[in-house]
Amino acid sequence: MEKDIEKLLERAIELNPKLANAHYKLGVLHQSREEFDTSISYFEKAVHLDSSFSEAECELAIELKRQKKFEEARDHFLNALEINPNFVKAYFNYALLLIDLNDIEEAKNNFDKVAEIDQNYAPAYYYKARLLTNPDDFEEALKHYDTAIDINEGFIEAHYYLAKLLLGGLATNNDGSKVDKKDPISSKMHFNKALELDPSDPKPYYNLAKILFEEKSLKEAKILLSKALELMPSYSKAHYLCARIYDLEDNYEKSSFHYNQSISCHNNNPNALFFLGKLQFNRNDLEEAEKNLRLSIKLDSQNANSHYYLAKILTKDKDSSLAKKHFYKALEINPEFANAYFDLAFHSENSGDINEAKIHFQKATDVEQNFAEAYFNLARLSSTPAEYELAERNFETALEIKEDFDECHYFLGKLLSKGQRMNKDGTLVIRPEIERAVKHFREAIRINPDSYKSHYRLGLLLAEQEYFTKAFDSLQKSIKINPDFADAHYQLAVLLMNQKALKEIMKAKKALHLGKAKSNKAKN
Amino acid sequence: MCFSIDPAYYLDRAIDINPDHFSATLLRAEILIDQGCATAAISLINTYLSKNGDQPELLNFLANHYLTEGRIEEAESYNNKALIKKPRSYESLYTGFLIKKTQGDKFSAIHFLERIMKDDDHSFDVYWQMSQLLDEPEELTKKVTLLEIAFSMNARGEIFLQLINGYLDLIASDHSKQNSTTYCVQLSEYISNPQFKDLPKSTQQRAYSLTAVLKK
Repeated sequence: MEKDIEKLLERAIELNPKLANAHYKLGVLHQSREEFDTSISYFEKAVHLDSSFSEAECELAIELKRQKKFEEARDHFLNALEINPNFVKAYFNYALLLIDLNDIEEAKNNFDKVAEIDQNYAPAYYYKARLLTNPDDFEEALKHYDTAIDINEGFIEAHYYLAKLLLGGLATNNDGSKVDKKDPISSKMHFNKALELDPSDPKPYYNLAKILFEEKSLKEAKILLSKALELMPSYSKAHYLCARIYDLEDNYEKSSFHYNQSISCHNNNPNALFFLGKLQFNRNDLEEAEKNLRLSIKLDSQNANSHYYLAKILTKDKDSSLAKKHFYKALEINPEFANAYFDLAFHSENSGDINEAKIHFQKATDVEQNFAEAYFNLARLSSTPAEYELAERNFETALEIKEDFDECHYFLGKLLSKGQRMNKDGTLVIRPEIERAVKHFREAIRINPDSYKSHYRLGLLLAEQEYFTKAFDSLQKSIKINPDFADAHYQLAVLLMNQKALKEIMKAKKALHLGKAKSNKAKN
Repeated sequence: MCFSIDPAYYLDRAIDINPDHFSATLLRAEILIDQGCATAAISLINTYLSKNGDQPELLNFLANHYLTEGRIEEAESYNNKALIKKPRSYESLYTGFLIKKTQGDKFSAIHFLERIMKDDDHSFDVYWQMSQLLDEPEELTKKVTLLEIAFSMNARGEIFLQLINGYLDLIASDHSKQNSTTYCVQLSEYISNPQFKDLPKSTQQRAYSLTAVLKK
């Protein structure tokens, strides 16, 4: 049938070579067969023969656009529109050309023109919506996608991109301030609709998995991701998300596999490289971790986390400046990165720069006001008598934030039991606060009964207060928990060399022994 | 649960765990000495020293041990090593004083005590020991001054007696009577001290009569 039409049209041209319409029809025929070069020559002939042939102008423009001859295409679209100012197809395809030419505003105007002429032209609303990417245009984009779907409920792309818009939710208020209009429920609905219309598309599966991942429904997310990967095994983003899930589930083998798959499917993948590096760092595979983090930084030098983890690896290097460089870079990118200050402080301390360490711990507390560990370490390093009050205050702040911070109770106990502070006139005063110190050591033991150091320190204080039996018991507990704690053994010897203490301890142990013997006798 | 109450048991454990535990080693050596096991104590200290190098406190311990045993040359040798390591150590300077005192070298003994005083002028022992070394008539004024300081730190009867006798000797030897009034005023104050009544009657009478004569 098609062949017959072709023969008839060729016959017509043979009879009348100036029959523009026959050239046009032959052009359309070849276009439908995807013989685009041939079709162009027929359309060119048609417009040459009939300068008011708008359809031929439009089709010629469409084919020239396909061949990326944009300027020529533009001329022919404009010719078509000049001939027929209400030519919807010409406006629409001209708008698409303007997108290629990056003239977005003009493209939007032309899509509007299409909708003005034909209010039921769904693709015009859809494409206009795709161009409305600014957060200010969130509502308008939403409206346009909705209209496209209202006109054509089976418009897969409209469902898909509307779902993506709702998933992002980046919008602005009337006053220009940013607002989150994320709507995961509606987003899921549209992704599901897209899947219903085309179950072979892996992208909605991936996006649905992304929503479920954010909702912490990891099991369901994994099912959807496996479907996406089944449909498209080289889907880098799906591998990445899959890896993130396995990462959270501490499944090193699988997460590592999917991160590597994600990277091999898409080389320019700084996020996957970062998370793979972080995963390897946590597994103490530092060589590989360093390699991947460096690659991540090479692709995206503004990822503060990559610099931070690389710095953490480099803290083991003899040259302390290497780690510092990356800590500082992380902080330059993200000045609110409390953990970077915190680890930089430890690095400074290990490099012997205590003052710098204190500055960084302080910074960590400035950035993150509830950073108990930072307050604690700042206090720990404030060890001179002149810093007594500062140390005490910071230990107490750490304990206000984190009551069950056993190590902090222990260190505060130590500070109070030493009591070395500086008077206002600069003279050294030794004023131990034994009762408070005892309280903190007891608290440390309550939180962590295995804190042999707290038992030890408590024992020393009790001995000082002449509670010899309790001191003995406390020191015994210390060596029971840690039999290799030489200092506790030594202090037990010192205690037992005190005749008064020895007498009291022996008396108490004898009484205990007798009590037990009586109780056993009563039982028998 | 069964516990040991023998300090030596814990010290041995501490040293087993950490052979470099200085305090445990020193204390264990002291116990061994008290138990009459000097050889074991010295062996323990020497093992520690061979591993950790010269430690002034342990060298001083050996010096004191040899001094007690009357092996003065060895005591002096160890104490010198300790002083090279820590020239201002109270313990080593004091041991130095004891060694010199044993050797009868009064001048050097005083010199060691003076070295301690430069850094620590609060040690009763130093003033007391130095006052005991001064036995020449021309050293009497200095001796009384040292006894004054020692008594202000430790109001022991023995010191008080020496102090009163010192003043009595000063007054008796003050033939020109230039300083007698000052000594008498000082002595009068001590007579009003409640401890005065505990002194031998002969000393009390001597004090009363000398102050009475000078008052006239």
